[in-house]
Amino acid sequence: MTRNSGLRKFRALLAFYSTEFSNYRAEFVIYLVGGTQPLIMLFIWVTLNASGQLSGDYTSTHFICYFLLIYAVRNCNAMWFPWALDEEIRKGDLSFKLLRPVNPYWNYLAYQLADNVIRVPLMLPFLIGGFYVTSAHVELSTSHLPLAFLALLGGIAIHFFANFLMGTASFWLERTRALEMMYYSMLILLGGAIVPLELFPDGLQQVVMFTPFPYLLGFPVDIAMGNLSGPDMARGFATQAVWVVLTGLVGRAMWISGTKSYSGAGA
Amino acid sequence: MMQSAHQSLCIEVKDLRKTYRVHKRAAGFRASIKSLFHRPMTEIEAVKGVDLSIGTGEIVGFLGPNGAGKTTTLKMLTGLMYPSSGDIQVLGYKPQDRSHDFLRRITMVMGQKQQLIWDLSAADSFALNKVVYDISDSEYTKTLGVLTEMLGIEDVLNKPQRTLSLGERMKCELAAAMLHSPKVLFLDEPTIGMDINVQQNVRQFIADYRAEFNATVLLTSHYMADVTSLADRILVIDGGQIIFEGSSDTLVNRFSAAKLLKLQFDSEVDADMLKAYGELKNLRGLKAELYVERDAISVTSATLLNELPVADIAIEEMPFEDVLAQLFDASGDPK
Repeated sequence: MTRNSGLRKFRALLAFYSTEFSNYRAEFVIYLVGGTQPLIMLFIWVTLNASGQLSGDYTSTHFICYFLLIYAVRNCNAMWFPWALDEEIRKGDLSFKLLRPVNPYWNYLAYQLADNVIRVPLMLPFLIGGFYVTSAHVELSTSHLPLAFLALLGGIAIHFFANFLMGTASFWLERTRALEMMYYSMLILLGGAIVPLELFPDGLQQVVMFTPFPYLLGFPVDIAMGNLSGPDMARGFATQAVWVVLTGLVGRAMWISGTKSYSGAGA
Repeated sequence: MMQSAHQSLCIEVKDLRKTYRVHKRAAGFRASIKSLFHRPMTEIEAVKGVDLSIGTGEIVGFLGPNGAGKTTTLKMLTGLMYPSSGDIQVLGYKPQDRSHDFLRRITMVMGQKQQLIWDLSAADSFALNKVVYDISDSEYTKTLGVLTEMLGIEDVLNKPQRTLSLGERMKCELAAAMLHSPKVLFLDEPTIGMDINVQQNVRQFIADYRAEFNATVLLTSHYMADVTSLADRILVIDGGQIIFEGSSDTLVNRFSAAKLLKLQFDSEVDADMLKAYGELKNLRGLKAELYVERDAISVTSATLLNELPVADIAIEEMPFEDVLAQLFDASGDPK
């Protein structure tokens, strides 16, 4: 497959899934409105801060900005394809993808990007409206935004590869939902969605920063708010890069091995 | 069209084997709890040394009872499944490599599964296949025209799949599977669940497609009419092994020890009385069908004419499906 032909196929897959998802725009809006866990945390932390129970010198807008950005980042890396992958492997529908002259991997990437293409523009008015009403945008460090965007992309890559890896586990496990639930619980807990990373106890923070989870949520948010020093950012990007490569390679190895044991159930 | 020496080989399989490892669990709550802690694995030999050769342009019917190894063999021939051992060549390719050149030349239709997306139209999926299979604009327009005409689906192309009938959906599935003009068609129960008219349409389509594209077809079906009307040759698999290869007539001759006597009586005849002459297949009013040993057919016919009020008698070969049913019953493997 030449590069041009590969790109053409990927664009066609992206257009195909975007057309499919555009059927479900009401569902997207409901997810956006319903995904309010970061907003609940926002109110809790603003209240805690106002009651003087926090030792640091924080303002309310600091927490508002942090959790509004967490809300945005979570929407950028919301992923449903591992559920589809799990079902397709178990029920044998993966066969159709395996029979096409395009690696199924590109299907899932296109599926994910198509989801983002629909979801992100629908999410932006909520985010901008949130900043406009609260004036929390003053907490943003505009000079750091390009780096934050890079960290966001790195986080999405880890999240995509990790989800692909978990979906691929269906080649051997009968259901991978429990694995995914555990991963998501860890992500929420250690990613900075409940407690901002900077408020983790020092020892715990050092340990957590070796896991992939902070790089999916809190890391890009902290960069966007200028909370990290240069060396911290460099260390963060290096660790993030290691996780991108690691999850990518393990997922690929599992896919190659899994397709050899695939039985195309029921087909 | 028997595969002959001058005909080029399209599919060649030697000593193909597939063994699955599955965990064994008895039914019931107690067994479910036990299986949480201990899962004994068992090996199932689904395909045990299959050899086959199929020539270019041939239609071969692949028959066997449930669990005989038909679909497993088909999946290995398409590259969906890795064989445990043995050699497969399809159009000179090793299917399990799943090279894109190979995938562009084959298709598989699975009657029990649909590739078209429920909420999108067939036209949306066709447009995707056009790009994925590198089909040029002119080739696409031409093939789509031929397929829509053969299948009569022009009016439903732009409707979401969920609004179509089963027959319409299946025809769209066939069109989607053939859009890239594949040279080899693996059809696994392509007419399952369809009414008689749609089944006939699909059979005609397969015959026309072979004629138009000189395609090779390997077909499994539980509808004997699919096989008898389309296949040049029949392969019967049971217990993971090919137990017969040849025409449907040869199969009937070789495996039916009995012939079918069709009788019409002048007055009512008792079923028990008929059973004395052979195996009674059915008795409805004044008509009966009786299986009689091939060697005894002349004597039995003469006796029946003498002893019972027979108005008319006809001797026929055992119907194809009955021969198969007998054959599968006799093979003894657990199905």
